[in-house]
Amino acid sequence: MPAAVSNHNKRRDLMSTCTDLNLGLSISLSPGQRQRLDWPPIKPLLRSTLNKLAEKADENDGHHLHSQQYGSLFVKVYMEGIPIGRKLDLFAHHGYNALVTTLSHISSKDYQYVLTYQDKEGDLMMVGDVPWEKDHIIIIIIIYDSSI
Amino acid sequence: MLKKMSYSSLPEDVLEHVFSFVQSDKDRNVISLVCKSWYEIERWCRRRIFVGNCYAVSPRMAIRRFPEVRSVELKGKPHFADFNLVPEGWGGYVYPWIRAMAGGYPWLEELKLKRMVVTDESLELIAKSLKNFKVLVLSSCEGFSTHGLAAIAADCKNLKELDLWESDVEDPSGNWLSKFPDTCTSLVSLNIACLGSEVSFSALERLVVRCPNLRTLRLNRAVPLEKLAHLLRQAPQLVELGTGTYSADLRPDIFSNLAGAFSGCKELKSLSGFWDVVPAYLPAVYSVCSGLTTLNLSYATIQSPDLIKLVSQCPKLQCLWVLDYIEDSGLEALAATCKDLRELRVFPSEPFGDEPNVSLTEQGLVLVSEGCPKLESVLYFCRRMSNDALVTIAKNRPSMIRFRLCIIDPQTPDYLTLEPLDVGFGAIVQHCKDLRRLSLSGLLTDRVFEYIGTYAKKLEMLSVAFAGESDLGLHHVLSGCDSLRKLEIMDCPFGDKALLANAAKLETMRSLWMSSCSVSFEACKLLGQKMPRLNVEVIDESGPPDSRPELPVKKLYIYRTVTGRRIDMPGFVWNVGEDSALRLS
Repeated sequence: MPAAVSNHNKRRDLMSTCTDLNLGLSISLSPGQRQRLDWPPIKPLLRSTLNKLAEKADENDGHHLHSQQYGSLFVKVYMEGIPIGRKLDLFAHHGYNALVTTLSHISSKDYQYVLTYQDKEGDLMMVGDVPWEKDHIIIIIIIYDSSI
Repeated sequence: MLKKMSYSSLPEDVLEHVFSFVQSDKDRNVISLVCKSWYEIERWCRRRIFVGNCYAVSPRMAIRRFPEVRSVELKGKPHFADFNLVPEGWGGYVYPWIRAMAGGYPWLEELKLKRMVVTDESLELIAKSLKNFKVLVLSSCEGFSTHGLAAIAADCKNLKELDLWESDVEDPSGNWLSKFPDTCTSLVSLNIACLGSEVSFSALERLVVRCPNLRTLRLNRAVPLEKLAHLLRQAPQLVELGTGTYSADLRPDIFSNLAGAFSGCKELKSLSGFWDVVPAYLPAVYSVCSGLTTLNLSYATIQSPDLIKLVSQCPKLQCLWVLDYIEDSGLEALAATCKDLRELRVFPSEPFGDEPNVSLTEQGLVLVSEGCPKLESVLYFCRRMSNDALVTIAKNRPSMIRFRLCIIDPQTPDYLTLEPLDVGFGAIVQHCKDLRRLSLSGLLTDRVFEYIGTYAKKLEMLSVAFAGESDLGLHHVLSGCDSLRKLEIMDCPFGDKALLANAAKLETMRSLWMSSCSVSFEACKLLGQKMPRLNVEVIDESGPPDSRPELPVKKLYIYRTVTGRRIDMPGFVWNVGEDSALRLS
C-alpha cells in the first residue's frame, strides 16, 4: 500500500506501480460522446427522448453546483470488477470529505481508501495535501484499496 | 359428375362468397392466379390491398385492378429511413395516391401509411373526398401538421381510429382536437402520443366523454399526471392506455386518486407512455397489472428494482418493451413471472456512451429464452454476447420468428473467446426453422452468411451492418434464402460480383438497400440494363456518381416495380437503368 508521497520521482514510480497493480478504483474523464446518426439503429422518437433524458440528467446534477462559475466537470468512476461506471460531478463537491462520502456510496463493499490525484504538472498528489480548489484541475484520481 | 365439374363453372356470387372467407393477401394473390374467371371475381370482391412499396405499382394500376377496395395500406421510404440513412426529400409522397383514390375509391374507409410524406393538402383531400372514411393510421410519417389533422377531425364524421404512431407532426396548435364536432361519438382509438405541443385538455376530455366505444387512448407528454385520473374515470372501458407525463409532486391525495381511477379500469390490457416517470407513482397501476398483456416502457426511465416490482405483478404479459435499466436481474424476474411472453424489446438507455451504464448482458436474454416458452420475437440491444449464449437461446426457443440483436459497438467479437459470432447466429438460423426476420451485429465473417443461406429458408427480412469479408457473404444470402423479400445492408464489403450474379433474385424481392458497401456505379448501370423491371437508384448527396467512377456508390436502393422509373426523384437520386417509361403504361 502506497504511503504518503513526498518526492517527485517516487510519485511517478508509484503511478506506474498503481496501474500494474490494477488497483480498486479509478476515475477517468467521461469519454466524449460520439454520435453516429445511423448507429446504433434507434428510431428518431426514442433517440430524441434519450437525448432529452441525458440533458435533463446533466441539468439535475448541476443543481448541486456550488460555484456556478466553474460549471461542472463530470468524471466516470469505475470499481474494479464492476463494468458499470458511475457519473460524478467533481465541481458539485465542496471538499475532499464530500468527495470521499460520495465515493464511499458508490461501493457497497467496505474498502479503505487513500485518495490521490494527478495535478496539472502530471505529479501524483495525495488528496488533502493541497487545499480543495477548483483551479487545480484534477485529471485522474486513483483510489487505492488499502487492503491490497 | 363431380370429376367433370370445374370450379370455374360455379356461379360468380358463390365464388365471391367463398373468397370472402380468405383473409390473407397472399392466399388472395394465389387465388387470382388460378384461372381467368377467378382472377376477374377476385377483382370485384377484394376489399383490402397492401402495397409494401408505393413505387412498385402506380395508384392508377391498383385502382384499375381492384375497383372495390375499402382499405389501403401503403409503405413509402426504405426501413433504414428510421435510422437517418435516407436523406430528407428522398420521396415517399402519398399525395398522388390520395388524389387517385379520391376519384377511384370514394368509399374508402381505411388508410394506413408507413414512412410516407403526408402533406396537410393530402389530409384535407381525404377529409373532403372520402365520405365514409373511418380509419387513419400514420406510422412514422412526416410532412403534415395539426392543420391537416383538424381537417380530418372536422370532416370525417364516422372516424373510428386516428393513430399517429411515431409520426413527426408539426404542431402549431393543440386546438385541432376541438375541431371534432359534438356529433362525433364514433372514436374507438386515438393515439396522439407523438405530438410535442400542448393539447387542449378540455377538448380532449369532451371527446373522451362522448365516445363510449373508445378502447385505445394514447396521450402525449403534455397531458399531466394530475389530469390522468380524471380522464380514466370518464373512460373506464379503456383497453389500451398511453399515459402522458407520469410525474407529479408526491402527494398522497394525487396518488390515491390515481390508484382509484386505475382500479376502475377493469378492461385495461396495454399500458404505455410513462414519460418522466416518478417511480413512487408506479404502484398506482398495480391494480390493473394482473390483466395486462402489453407494456411499453420504452420512454420510461425506471430503474431495475421498480421494474422488477412492476413486471412481477404482470403474469399475463405477452409483450414488453423496456429500456436496459431492467438489467439482467429484471429479466430474470420477467422469466420467472411472465410465462406467456411472446415479444421482448430491450432498448439502450445510453446508446452513445462508450461504457455500459447498466448491468445488462447476454445473460438476461438467455434467462428469458429459458423461462418464457412462447417467446418468438426479440429485439435486444446489449454490449456483449457470446456464441454459447446464442446457441443456448436458439436451442431454448426454436419457435423464434423475429430475432434482432444489436451489439452496440460494431464488430464486437464473442467476449469469452474473442471469436466471431458466426457460430452463434448460425445456431439461430439452424434451430429456428420459422425465422422470418433477422438482424445481425457483432464480429461476423462470410461464414455466418453461409449458414444463413443454408438454413434460413423462411427468412423474409435480413438486416446486416459491419459484417462479412467478401462478395461471397452476399452471394450466400441471395442464392440461398428462398423467401427473402427485404435485404438491408450497411457498411459491408459486398460488391458487384455477388449483385450481378444474383440479379434475377432481386426481381423476386421487394427491395435491397446497400449503403457504404463496395458496389460500383458501373455495376449499377449493368444491373439496371439487365433487369428492366428493377428500379436501380443511386443516392448520393455529394454529386453525380459517374463523376467519381473509381469509388463505390454511397447508397443504393433497388426495388422491383411494374410502373417503371418514378417521376419524383430529387436531384441526389439517380435511376441508372434504361429509361423505362415506355415499359408499361
